[in-house]
Amino acid sequence: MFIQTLRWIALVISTLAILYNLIGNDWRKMGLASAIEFGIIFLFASLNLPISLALVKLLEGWMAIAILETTMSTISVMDEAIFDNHFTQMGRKEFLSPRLFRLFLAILVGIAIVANSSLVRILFPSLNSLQTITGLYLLVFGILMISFRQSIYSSAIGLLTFMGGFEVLFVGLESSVLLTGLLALVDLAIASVCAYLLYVRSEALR
Amino acid sequence: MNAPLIWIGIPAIVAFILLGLTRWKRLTASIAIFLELGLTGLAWILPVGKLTQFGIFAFEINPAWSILGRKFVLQSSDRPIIVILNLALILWFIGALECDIHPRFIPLGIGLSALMSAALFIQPFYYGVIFLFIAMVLAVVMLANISGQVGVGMIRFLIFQALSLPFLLLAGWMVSNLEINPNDTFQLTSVSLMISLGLSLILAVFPFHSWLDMVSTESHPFLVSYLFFIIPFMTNIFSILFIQQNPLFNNSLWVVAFFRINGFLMTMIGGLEAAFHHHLGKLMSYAIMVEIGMIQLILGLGFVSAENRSFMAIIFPLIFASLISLVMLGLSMSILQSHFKDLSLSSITGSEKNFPLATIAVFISLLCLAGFPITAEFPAYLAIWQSLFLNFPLGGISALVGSLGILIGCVRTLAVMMRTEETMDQMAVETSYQKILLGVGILVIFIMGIFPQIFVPITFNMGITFLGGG
Repeated sequence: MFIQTLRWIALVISTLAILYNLIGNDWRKMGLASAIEFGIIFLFASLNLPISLALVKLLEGWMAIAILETTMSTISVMDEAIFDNHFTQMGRKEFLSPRLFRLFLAILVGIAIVANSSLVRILFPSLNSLQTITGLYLLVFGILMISFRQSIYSSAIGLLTFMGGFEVLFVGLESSVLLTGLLALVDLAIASVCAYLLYVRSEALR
Repeated sequence: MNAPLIWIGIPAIVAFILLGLTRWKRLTASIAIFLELGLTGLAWILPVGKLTQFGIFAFEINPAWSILGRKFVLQSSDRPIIVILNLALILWFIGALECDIHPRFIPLGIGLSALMSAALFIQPFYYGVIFLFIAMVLAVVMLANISGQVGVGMIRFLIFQALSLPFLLLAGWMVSNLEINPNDTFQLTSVSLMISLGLSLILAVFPFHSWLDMVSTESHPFLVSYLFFIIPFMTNIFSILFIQQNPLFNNSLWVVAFFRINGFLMTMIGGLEAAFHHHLGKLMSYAIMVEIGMIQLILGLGFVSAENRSFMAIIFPLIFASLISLVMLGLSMSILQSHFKDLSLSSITGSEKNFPLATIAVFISLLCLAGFPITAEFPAYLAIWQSLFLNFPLGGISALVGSLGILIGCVRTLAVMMRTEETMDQMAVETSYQKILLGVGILVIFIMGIFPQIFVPITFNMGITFLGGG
C-alpha cells in the first residue's frame, strides 16, 4: 500500500516537473525539474532492476543535467537559438497566451494518455500501470517540448525527457546490464553534444 | 586477432591519436590515407574465419569479438562494406589535402566510419541502433566543429535521430523476444508501425528529410558531401539487415509498400525541388534525396520475394558511382566557397571565368548524380529504370522525374556559372593540385560511364556477397 502511494506521488510530481519544463522560462528551474524527473525514473526503474543498476539511471541523468547546467552558467551571450525564453532572464515580460496554449494541449494529451495506456499494456503485459502512464507522459511531453521550444537547451531537456520516458518503459521489458550502460551513454551523448552546440553558438555570437 | 578489432577497433584508436596531430594537416592526412589503404587492402585479400598461409606463417582471423557479454561479428561476406567505407575515406582525405576544411575532419571521419561499422556488426542486431545514434551524434559534432556555427538543421538532424532510437529498439526487442502470432494483427501492426517510424527517421525520408537541405547550407560543403555519402549508405544497409534478420517480414506486403511509397515520394520531391533550387548546396541535398529515393525503390523491388533479393545488389554499383561524384562535387563546391563565401546562385555568377575546372566538375558530378548517359551512375540507373517500368511503373515515372529535376537544376546552375561578370577578381584561380584532382575525377566519371564492364560486375558481386551472407 505504501509503495503504491509512493508511486502515485511520484507520478504527480513527475507530471508537475514535466509541465514546468513545458511552460517554464527559467533554465535553472528547468534543470531542477529535469533532475526531479530522473529521480522519478530511478524510482520506476527500481521496480524491474536491482537498485545498483537503477542508480545508474539516476546518476547518468543528473550528470547529463549537470553538463547542461554548467555549460549554460558559463555562457555569457545568449540568443533565441540557445534558450527560447532568454529575454525573460533580462527582465522583459513574456506573453501568457503561448504558455496557456501549451498547458491546455498538455492537459488534453495527458487525458488521452491515461485513456489509452491500456493499449500499451496489452502490448507489454509485464509493465505496471503507473509505470506505463509515467513512461508515456515523459515520452510524449518530451516530444511536445521539442516541438514547441526549438532552442538548443530546451531541445536537450526535451530529448532527455523523451529518452527518460522510454527508459521507464523499456526497463520493464529488458534488464540487460550492457543495454542499461548503452542507454546511459545515449543520455550523456545527448547532453554533451547539446552542451557543445551551446558553447559553439555562444562563441559564434561573441 | 579478430576481424572487428582490425576494422573497427584499430581505426577508432588511430582516430583518437590523430586528434592530437591535427596541427599538422598533411601528416594527419598521410597517416590516415596509409591506414585506410592498408585496411582496404586487408579487407580485399584477407578471408575471415579461414586459415590463411603466408610463407611459413599460418593464421586465422576470428570473425567475433566478445565484449560485456555481447559480440561484434564481422563475417567474410561483410568485407565489401568495409572496402567501400575505407575507399570513401581515402578519396575524401585526398580531397581534404587541397581544400580549406579543418584537419579535425580526418580523425572525426575515421571515428564516424568505425562507429557506423560497429552499428552493423553488433549482436543482437538491434543494439546497433544505439551505435548508429552515437555515430550520428559524432556527425553533429563534426558539423558544428568544422563550420564553427550551429544551425537549425543540425539540431533537427539530432532530434530525428534521437526519436528513431526508441522505436527501433522496441521493435527490435519485440521481434526478437515476443512470440508474434501472424494472426495477431494488433501486435503485428504495432511492430510494423514502430519500424516504419524508426526507419523513416533514420533514413531521412518524407516527412523527416527537412534537415538535409538545411544542413547543406549551414556547414562546409566538403564535409556535407561526406555525410551525404555515409549516412544514406549506412542507414539503408542497416535497414536492409534490420528487415532481413526478422523472418516475420520476409515477403511482407507492408515492407514492399513502405519502401515503394518512400521511394516514390523522395524521388518526386527531390526532383521537383532540384529543378527550382537557388543554392548549390541545396541542389546537392536534393540530388541526395533522389538518390535515397532510388535506393528505397530498389528495396521496394528487392523485398518482393526471395528470388528478387539479388536485385538489391545493384545498390553497390549505384553507391560506388555516387561516391566518386559526391567527392568531386564536395571538392569543387569547397573550392568555389573558399572564394565566393556563399554558394547561392546569385553569388557564384560567372565562376567559370576563374574556376573553369571546378565549374565543369560541379556540372559533371551533378550530371552523374542525375544518371545521365556516359557518366558513372548511368549503368546502375538504366538497370533500375528498366526494372521499375516492368514492375512498378509509378516508381519508374517518379525516378525519371527525379533525374530530370536534377538535370534541370544542373543546367540552370551551369547557365549562371557561365554568365560573364566583369567585376571578377582575376587573381583567384584553382591550384595545380586541385586541377589534377578535378581532372582525374572527371575522367574517372566518364571512364566508369563509358566502360561499365570495368566496375559494375565487381561492385555488383560485392553486393551479392554482402547480401547473400548478410
